[in-house]
Amino acid sequence: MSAAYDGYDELPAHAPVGRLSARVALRLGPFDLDVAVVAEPGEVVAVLGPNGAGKSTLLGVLAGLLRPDAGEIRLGERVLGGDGVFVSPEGRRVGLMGQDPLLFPHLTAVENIAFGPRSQGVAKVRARAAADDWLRRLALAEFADRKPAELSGGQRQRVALARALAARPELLLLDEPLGALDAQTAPEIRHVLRTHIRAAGTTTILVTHDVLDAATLSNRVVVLDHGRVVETGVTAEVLAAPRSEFTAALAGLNIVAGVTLTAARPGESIAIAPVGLAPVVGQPEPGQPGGLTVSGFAADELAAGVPATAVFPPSAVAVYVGPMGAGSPRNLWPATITALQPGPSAIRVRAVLSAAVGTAAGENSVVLDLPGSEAGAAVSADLTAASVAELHLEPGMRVYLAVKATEVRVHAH
Amino acid sequence: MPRWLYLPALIGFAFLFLPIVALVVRADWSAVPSAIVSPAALSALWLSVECGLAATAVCLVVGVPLALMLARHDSPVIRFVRALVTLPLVLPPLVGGIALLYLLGRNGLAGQYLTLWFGLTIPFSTLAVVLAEAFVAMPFLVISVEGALRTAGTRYETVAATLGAKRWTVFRRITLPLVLPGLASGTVLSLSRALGEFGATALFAGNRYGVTRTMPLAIYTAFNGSGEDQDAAIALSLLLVVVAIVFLVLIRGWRPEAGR
Repeated sequence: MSAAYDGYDELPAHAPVGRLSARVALRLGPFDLDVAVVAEPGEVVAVLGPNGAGKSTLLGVLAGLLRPDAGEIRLGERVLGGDGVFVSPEGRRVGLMGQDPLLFPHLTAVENIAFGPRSQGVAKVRARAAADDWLRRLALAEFADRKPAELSGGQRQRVALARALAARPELLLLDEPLGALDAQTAPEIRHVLRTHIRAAGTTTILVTHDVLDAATLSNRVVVLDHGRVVETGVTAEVLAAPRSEFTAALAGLNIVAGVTLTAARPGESIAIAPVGLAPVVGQPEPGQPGGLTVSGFAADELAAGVPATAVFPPSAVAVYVGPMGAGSPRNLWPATITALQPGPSAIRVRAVLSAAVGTAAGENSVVLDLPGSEAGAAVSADLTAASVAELHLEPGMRVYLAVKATEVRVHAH
Repeated sequence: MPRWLYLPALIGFAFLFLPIVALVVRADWSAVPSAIVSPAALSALWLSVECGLAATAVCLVVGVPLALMLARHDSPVIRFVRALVTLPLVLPPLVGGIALLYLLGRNGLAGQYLTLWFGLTIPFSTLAVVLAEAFVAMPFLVISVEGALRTAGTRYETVAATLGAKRWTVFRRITLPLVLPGLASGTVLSLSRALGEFGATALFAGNRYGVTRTMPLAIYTAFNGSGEDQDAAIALSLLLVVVAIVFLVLIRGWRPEAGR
């Protein structure tokens, strides 16, 4: 293996990009995992699922920590497992980073990061230089000589990411990397992960139970339940139109994928045009029903014209029937009700946003319904049973959905 | 801490410390220097240090891998092996000496072949002292290192493997440094146990001046045996106390800050 690293300096700073294609079956006592997962080169695939669905077991098999009973794992041009082949973890070039950063406690930050290259036969000076480079990239330069015990949780997780990437894995496995971080640190590390996984172009499998991680970090999702794949597809589509009950429950937040119309710094207001629902003609006007923009506040640094995801809770969505006058909510969208689901405290009204054809539209515009699964713009609203009854809401009804911009967080995607 | 528990605590301390005081008080200090620099004392001291270090080295070379095997596997066989490893701890050292004699003695289970094939006779040699000391000291090292290995767990080793480190690299750069505090205390325990070893040495190695007469045997001989006076025994005992303290200080000084 070490021959591949002789040219550490000459190779691009980032890892080779491999395509993962895995089909694994494994029985562990009463639990039985049988899944197929594919990740295209450079793709980030989120693996979602309830506790005990087999997410971490899958990662263990991919990392070579567990030996599958059957199946085949291919990474790039190599076969890592299956058919009598079993490559041990140290020979796989599959990196693993969990919610516990597990930095080697006796080594400094820079020594931790240099550990991978050193172990793969890179000379001390060059490994150190590569580690210094990673420290700079992750804004950790001043902490190079600190021991893990002298770093904050977020800093440790950044060092752990640098250490994983410095080993130049062909596949990176992230096992709930934000799971142990507090609410202040998690967004920062989510941002760091997004930036550096993209920059490294490493094929990545991300296990998470946080729909926001999946929505903001991944291209595709695989939903596991009881050791089986129950749903898979493009992230925005799966989350917008969940087919499995688990995904629906998971996607408790409204997630609308789109493209930013303006640039914004964190905390500033911003608007996005939802994918597939951008106005056909004319400049979108935020707040106008036909404009079909989603206004909110930026959670990350965002440029204009980049992919972004708007996230807001169903409790923030109000439903109007019929024409209405001027109002304060910046978001007012025509929609069609698709389903009513009674919940424990409210009735969840599911609706798909409708694309308007024409100029900035009002009541007279032609409204074109797009199926949610294609458009990726299903929105749920939680209403009281009394409201639902009073408005006589039922599937198929045309309504307007109103959301205050302050309730909408726009994340980079 | 309940206040009344200080009483038994202080009694315990006094019980451990007062005998040393009695030794110091009883010593004939005018005779101590000459007793310590006597050829007999110096020979015993040198032999003790030499054999103690050699026995500790033996413990480290085979004891650390043994601890690793016990910590990283779990099966009925391993549990049985672990029970056997701790046996020398509860065995009277005299029994250990006899057992070694019947294994490695001239007519012993293995000893007869050593004599037959290699012309090697172990009992009553300096090598026998080292082996007897290693026999009684090794369980201390194994237990202490195994405990440290279990506490450290395998998670760091797993991470190291996913970073591309081969098993020997993981052992050298991750496993060993992580258990260093346990390894250090195990080494101290083994060394002190080896320095104080008497019973197994006496039976397996005998009491030959300059060959197998270590400090404990020299003290016994001076106090009880061939008619030398008790003052020499006391002086030698004090010397052993000082040697033990020196070793403790040396190893504590070398030991890196633990628990980081």
